[in-house]
Amino acid sequence: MSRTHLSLVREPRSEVAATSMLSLKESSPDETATTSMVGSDFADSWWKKICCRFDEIDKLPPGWDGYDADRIAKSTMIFSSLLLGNVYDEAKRLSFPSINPMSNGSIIIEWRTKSHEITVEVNNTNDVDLLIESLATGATSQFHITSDFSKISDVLEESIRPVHAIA
Amino acid sequence: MLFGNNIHPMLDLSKIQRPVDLPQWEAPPVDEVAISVQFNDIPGLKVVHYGQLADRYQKLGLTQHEDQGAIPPQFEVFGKRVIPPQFQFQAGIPLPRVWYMTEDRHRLVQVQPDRFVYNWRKVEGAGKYPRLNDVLPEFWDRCQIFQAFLADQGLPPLSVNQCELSYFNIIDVQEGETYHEAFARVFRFFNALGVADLSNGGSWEQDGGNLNLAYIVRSKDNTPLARLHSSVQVAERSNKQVIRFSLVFRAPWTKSVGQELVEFFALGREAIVRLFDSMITEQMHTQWGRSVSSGR
Repeated sequence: MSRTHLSLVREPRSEVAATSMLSLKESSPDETATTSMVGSDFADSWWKKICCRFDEIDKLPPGWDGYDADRIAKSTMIFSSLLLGNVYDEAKRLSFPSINPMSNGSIIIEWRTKSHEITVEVNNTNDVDLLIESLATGATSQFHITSDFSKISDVLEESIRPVHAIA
Repeated sequence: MLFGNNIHPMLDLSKIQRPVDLPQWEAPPVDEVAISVQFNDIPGLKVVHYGQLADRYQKLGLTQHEDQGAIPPQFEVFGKRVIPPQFQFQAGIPLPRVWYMTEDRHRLVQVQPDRFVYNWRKVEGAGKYPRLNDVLPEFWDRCQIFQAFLADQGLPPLSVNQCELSYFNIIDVQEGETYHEAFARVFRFFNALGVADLSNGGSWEQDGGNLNLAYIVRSKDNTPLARLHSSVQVAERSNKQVIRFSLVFRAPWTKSVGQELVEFFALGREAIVRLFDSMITEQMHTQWGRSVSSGR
């Protein structure tokens, strides 16, 4: 398996033409992005940390756990990145999450707030578990998610508020 | 109607009937249709397999081959953020994408380590677009061949994560017509000024440009199922100015390549046709022969 490098693409790319066999001379995909102030220093720094972390995970060799773990699949890393991109508006208000590979090939993303521990386990593409644990009571709630990350946004949003029950 | 043979599971086309109120066109500007599944990388797939696979497709007349760069993985995800950032993984030495084509480039299978695509393409003298119900069985059959090949080679089965149906339309810009005039002639939503005067005595006029719009397709219970992308691009083809109007239905998919997926593609076709229908002017509907009939 070849080495990969993760980078954030700010400019919208063409979402439609990839599978066509037709070669056309097209105008530039987006001439408007160069002077935009999309993003911010904070966002750039946040995303840079995300990219660095996934680069580190991508460099893990087979057997990286001291046993016989495979390398983390590229598709799982991309899907995890998309998940983080989707919940960024809420996540940016929390401490930077810990992002760790697991021996079974999944990626665990965790936030710890004053009241809750929020664990997102990306098992595979379209296969995500969300676990919420109350630090005060130890009560847990679990949800399975495929491709709609609204629930994760809701949970992160709630965890920012001074409310205890979010599950 | 059942399609299949002794090797491949049967496909029940009777379950992918067009809705009776779905419009159709006698001479639509469809230039190309692509049916695609994206899957997790197939571990163990090597360049040599591409050559062995060519032998199987040769029997179906796919005798021509070309190497292409791999299509980057694309995932549709949903949530509160309307435009999430996009990521790309830059691979060191990725396996290429290989085209297996008929000699007239009319039909095409594309294979890369994480994607299988079947294309029908309009070719001069090779007949008009045969409709999705004719192309779907061809996709099905060629994908079954690919899956049988993987099994014969001891490679793991496809773990599909996305599916995609794309229609690429090519619309000529008429002699003496500007792009702006062509946009206004073709697209119902396009009413912007093509030229305007400025206070300095000068003016501006449309020079080119692209329009991209995306829609979320939801189920009856409001669950997001897919995203429908439309794109209008100015382009040149054979030194002629054209408008390329692309419609792509892309969705997360976690099941196998089976009857259910084929039925889902039929939903994609419906979404694409209804969007196309809503975007096009009456003038073009008349020119392309729009009708609504109970049919295939």
